[in-house]
Amino acid sequence: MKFLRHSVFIFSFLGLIACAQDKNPINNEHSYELVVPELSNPWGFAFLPDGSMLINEKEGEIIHFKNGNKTSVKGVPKVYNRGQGGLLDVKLHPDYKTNGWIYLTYASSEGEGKGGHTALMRAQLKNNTLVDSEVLYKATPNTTRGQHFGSRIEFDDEGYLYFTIGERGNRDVNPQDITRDGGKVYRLHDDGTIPSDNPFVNDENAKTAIYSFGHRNPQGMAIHPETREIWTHEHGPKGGDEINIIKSGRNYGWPVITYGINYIGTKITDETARKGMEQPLHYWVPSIAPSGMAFISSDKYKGWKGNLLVGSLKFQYLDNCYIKDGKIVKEERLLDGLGRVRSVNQGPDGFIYVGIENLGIVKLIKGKK
Amino acid sequence: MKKSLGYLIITLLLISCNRSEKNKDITELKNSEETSINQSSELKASMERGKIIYTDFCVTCHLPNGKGVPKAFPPLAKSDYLMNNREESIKSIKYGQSGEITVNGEIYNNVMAPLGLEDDEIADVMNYITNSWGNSNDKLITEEEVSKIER
Repeated sequence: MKFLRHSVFIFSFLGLIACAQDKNPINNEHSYELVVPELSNPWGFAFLPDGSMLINEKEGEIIHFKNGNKTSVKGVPKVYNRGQGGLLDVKLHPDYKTNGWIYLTYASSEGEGKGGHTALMRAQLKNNTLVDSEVLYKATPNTTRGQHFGSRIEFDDEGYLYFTIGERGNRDVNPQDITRDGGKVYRLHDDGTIPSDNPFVNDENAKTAIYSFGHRNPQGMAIHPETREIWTHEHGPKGGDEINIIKSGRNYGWPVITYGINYIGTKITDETARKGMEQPLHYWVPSIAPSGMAFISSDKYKGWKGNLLVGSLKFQYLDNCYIKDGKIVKEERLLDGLGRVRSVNQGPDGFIYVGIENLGIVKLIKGKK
Repeated sequence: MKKSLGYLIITLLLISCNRSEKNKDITELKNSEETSINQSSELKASMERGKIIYTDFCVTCHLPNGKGVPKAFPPLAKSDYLMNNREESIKSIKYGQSGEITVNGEIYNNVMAPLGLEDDEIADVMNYITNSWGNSNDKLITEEEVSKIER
């Protein structure tokens, strides 16, 4: 009988940890408005000074959305549309109004070898065509693996450009090796040159654009509106998605330490911490599959100012993260069940816009309709 | 007493999803590999390549045991849709799939984006999924067959 009671306890416990349920409560005090309808995978989007939008569709099209009309932008680089690869993020230079530079990340098969790897390009938009385009970075070597291209782009206040590349499905080779691309956050000047104070500029054979390493697949990056630190999140394997604050030269641990396990349930490692490796600011078990990241810095959402928003592909909601003393203390589901949330940005009007797969871009509204 | 404990454990395991199934998943993976020993070497080689493609492109949604996720991603294991709709299944992998489909009596209405696979890779992954997890297909799918299937 004692055995029975024990078993009940053990198996109830197993049941609890086994069910890949997400316990975050649904927030019902909000609604949304569909702003851009009929998009299949709005991987990234950006607002131009006239209030119109540039929208990256993963399959390789840039849509200029203005006054309710969609126009396909010409001169878009050829993308390697395979698995998770395709046209990825789009970001305007902080001084876009004076210099007109638009930055894109995408999976590219440029260079030697079969397959593709992530590239960063800048270009200008003239007469609805990308012109003066320059590839600023192209990771190597190409590979036909379908996973983990990254990628997000962000600028800091000093004009440095940060972008991410995932480990391309080669976790035992790429993320811990600074002589190889993939599983890294990179830092460049806005013209693609490598800053002389990047952490590995003096390391032999190192990819000197690397700013931090030991990442798996970061698909979210945003600068904190007050501390001005660069925050990223990344996909873990099964469990172990993370939020990190990126610091120069640091090792974020993948795959040596992780809170996740392999997809088939087997262990990757017993270690969740090791000296010399960074602990995440926050991690999710089970995985929410995070994509897109933005802080609310406007006054449009009473009680949510300073909150961090993270899209969940897997559970199809926008995660509203409340932050206190630098830690995430509470999470809520916004836009629950609307679709796989791929991208999120605060618009110049202070409202939050959210790109949802097979739906479009919606505007988040506080309060019920 | 022992019997009721057994039932209890089985029930509890059934209600709990994913992680507690891991051992079962692994066994099923192994079993599916073993059945292939009796099949032709050509099929076996194609399935081995197909398994790599599956692990790379398909496993996150359809899972290692091919069972999918209820209401979201249809099962491939013992799937009537997959086994009875050879051409449609190849078409789905090649060009993507959207709209309602009925799989084992359940309606799924989701979108699978085209994966960007080459025709030979599609043939390999089809040979793998139609011969794994209790599925059996005695007619080899070839690169040529895939290349002829149009949107």
